[in-house]
Amino acid sequence: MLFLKHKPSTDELLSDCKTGSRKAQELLYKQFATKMLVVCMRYAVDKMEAEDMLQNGFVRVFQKMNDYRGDGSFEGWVRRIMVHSSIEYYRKHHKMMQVEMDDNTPEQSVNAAAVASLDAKDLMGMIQKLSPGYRMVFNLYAIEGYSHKEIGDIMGISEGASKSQLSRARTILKDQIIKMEGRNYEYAG
Amino acid sequence: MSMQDKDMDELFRAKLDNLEIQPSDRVWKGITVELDGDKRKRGLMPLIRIAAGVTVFIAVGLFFLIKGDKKDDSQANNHLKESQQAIKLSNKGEPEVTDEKVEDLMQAKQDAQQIAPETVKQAQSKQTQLARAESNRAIGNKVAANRNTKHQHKVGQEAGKQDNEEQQELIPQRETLAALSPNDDKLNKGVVPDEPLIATKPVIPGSDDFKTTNKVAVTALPVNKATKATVKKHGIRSFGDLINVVVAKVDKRQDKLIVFSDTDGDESTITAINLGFVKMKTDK
Repeated sequence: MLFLKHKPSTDELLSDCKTGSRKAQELLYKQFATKMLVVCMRYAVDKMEAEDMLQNGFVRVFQKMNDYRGDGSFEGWVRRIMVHSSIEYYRKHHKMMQVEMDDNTPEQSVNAAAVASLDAKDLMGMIQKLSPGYRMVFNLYAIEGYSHKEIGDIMGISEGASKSQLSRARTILKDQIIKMEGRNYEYAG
Repeated sequence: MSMQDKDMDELFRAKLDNLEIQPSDRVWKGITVELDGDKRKRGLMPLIRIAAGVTVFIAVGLFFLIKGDKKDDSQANNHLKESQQAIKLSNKGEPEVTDEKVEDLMQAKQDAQQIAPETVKQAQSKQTQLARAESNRAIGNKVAANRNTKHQHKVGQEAGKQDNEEQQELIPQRETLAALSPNDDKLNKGVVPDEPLIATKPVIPGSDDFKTTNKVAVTALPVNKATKATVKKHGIRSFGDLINVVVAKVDKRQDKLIVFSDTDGDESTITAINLGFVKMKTDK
């Protein structure tokens, strides 16, 4: 006799989580943890730090579960909580970097095909190598879509400082991509 | 082909969105530990609130207890002073009259004591409480009569014949009861807590002949009995009654800190509150 195991939907898990069911919370965590860890890793230096952010974020998700009204996707709501958790962690553990701009660095052009060929883990490694301030601004602006004014408010810096840090972060990333591209060519050759 | 900044951002976003990384087991354990700690904190909150409420109740109770004692002391001192002043004034104004009264009382006691041994046998042969009640009345009349020179010896002798040693011990108390009705058997029998006595002074037939001046001591006894009787009458039937009893023990003021209705219904309602600066009373 075949028993089909019923896999609860996200809505069912949500209603169970609101009643405080630990099993439902675990299932919901397993459903979103792998994706959310990636979000946290973009703001962290390493996986260990990212896991601390993830833990704080999920605790807040379960505590604020009743605040979710169903407006927008649940994943988007959890993601925003993870970003805020990462920003809080950053504020606690990293001083806001007073970035010394080195505008003498020449702007380099990057081949689109070279970026496309890069692995996602390589891109993650590049972001993690950025200094905390650059990493924060690049993530918030390029990936999350915040404005420079919002980033300035979050980080306690001016709008101009946010723009210049973004510019510097992009230059560093392009430089790393070119280096990576050259290495790939060497391996190919 | 060179790449624009926006294109590069888009490529980063697209590539990282598809990435998934498995977190270690310690993350979920950490989450459960934090959530359990939060639950424990929430669980303690009601207990802390109850403890705080009880502490406040006890503190308020002690406050009124101490305050009530001080008031009683000061009232007692005032009464003492007043009585002392009254005694001084009476000594100055009518010294002969008071001496006469004291002598009369002493004479009555001596008469009763002298007559009592002679009548022991007779008293033993006569039983029943009615006889005792009659004798009590007679003694009361005798004491009153001792203050009146006309009836002093006749009444005292009649009463003395029916008296025994127990009655001798009760003489001071009966002196105070002399002004009450001779038909009031309840007073003669002693305290009966379940039957409240009438606080007002009853009409005494023929008492004009035995008028005395000792009226102050008479009024005090029935009032105390009446209050005892009202407390026992209702009993503790509800939570409100329990609070009433506790508050009555602690708060000695006329208007209590809180009073619940003493109706027979299941639900007790607050009928009066006295916080000192705020007083509320309903006419239920």
